[in-house]
Amino acid sequence: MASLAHKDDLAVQHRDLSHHGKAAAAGGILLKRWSGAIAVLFAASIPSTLIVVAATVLFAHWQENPYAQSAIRGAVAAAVAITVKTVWTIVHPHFRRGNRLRVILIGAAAFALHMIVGLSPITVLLIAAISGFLLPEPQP
Amino acid sequence: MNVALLYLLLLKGTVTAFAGLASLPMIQDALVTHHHVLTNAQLNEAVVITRSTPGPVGLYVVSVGYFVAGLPGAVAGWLAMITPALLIIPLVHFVGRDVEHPKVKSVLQTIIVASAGLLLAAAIPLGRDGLTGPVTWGIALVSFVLLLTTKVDTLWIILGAALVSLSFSSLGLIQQL
Repeated sequence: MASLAHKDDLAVQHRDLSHHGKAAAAGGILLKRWSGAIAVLFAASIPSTLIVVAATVLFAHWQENPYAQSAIRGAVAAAVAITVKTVWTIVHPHFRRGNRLRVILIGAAAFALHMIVGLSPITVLLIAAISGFLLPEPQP
Repeated sequence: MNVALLYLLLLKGTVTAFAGLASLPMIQDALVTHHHVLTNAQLNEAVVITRSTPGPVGLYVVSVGYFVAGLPGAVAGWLAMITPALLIIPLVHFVGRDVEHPKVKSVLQTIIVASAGLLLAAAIPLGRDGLTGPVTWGIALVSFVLLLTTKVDTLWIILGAALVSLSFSSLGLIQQL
């Protein structure tokens, strides 16, 4: 039986890491430890992976079809919007009163370090981790 | 490209990501900018595919894997997607309670917000590739407003965008796209 602490861990993990696979794996471990975690992870990821592979194969075949290409151009434009909107989806939970300037500065610094200074994403994330350790979030 | 190397490059993206598309800048940097085995157009298409199908957004790495190395690449993408989920199990077990520590929360928050800044940077070349005329710009702007202001599923937005684009093309305005 899962302990309350484990349930808390799952809640924190689900909220902060927000990844279906990770949550599924953690849910599985509550049920039957490693084997449960792996079974839940496979069950959660394999069907959708197969659908994505099938869709990708179709996409690759449609490269020669002019009608499909026209439709894909529109879909790709929407995908750009989805990518930009995801930026807000990621930032939104942290964009709280008293923390907004910090969030804007961190986001802008990461953007500038990558786009203007030319640092690799992994270096930017490492700098972010060090900054987060040295400059803690203001407590409400 | 060697499938093992592809797996490691994709894993570098997924293991440092805190949300589905947050791994995109890392994967774009590795596969588009440095190894030149993927194009921004294919990266955009991978996002279209995963947002049009059920399942987590992070599955776009499966499409990326397929575009780079066919079916073995798709398997590498799937493995790269599930590996962090397997790594998180001992992490949740041993350090899960420390996630509430202010220092740990601050580090996680800074990384998450920085990844958003990186994703915005990654969206610029994707936009440069995908938004080539007034029609595609219009589609992107309307899609963005719909995404921000409504709860319409992304599948319908992608389908609508595809239909609008197809209609313009059929009307002989393909050069406008």
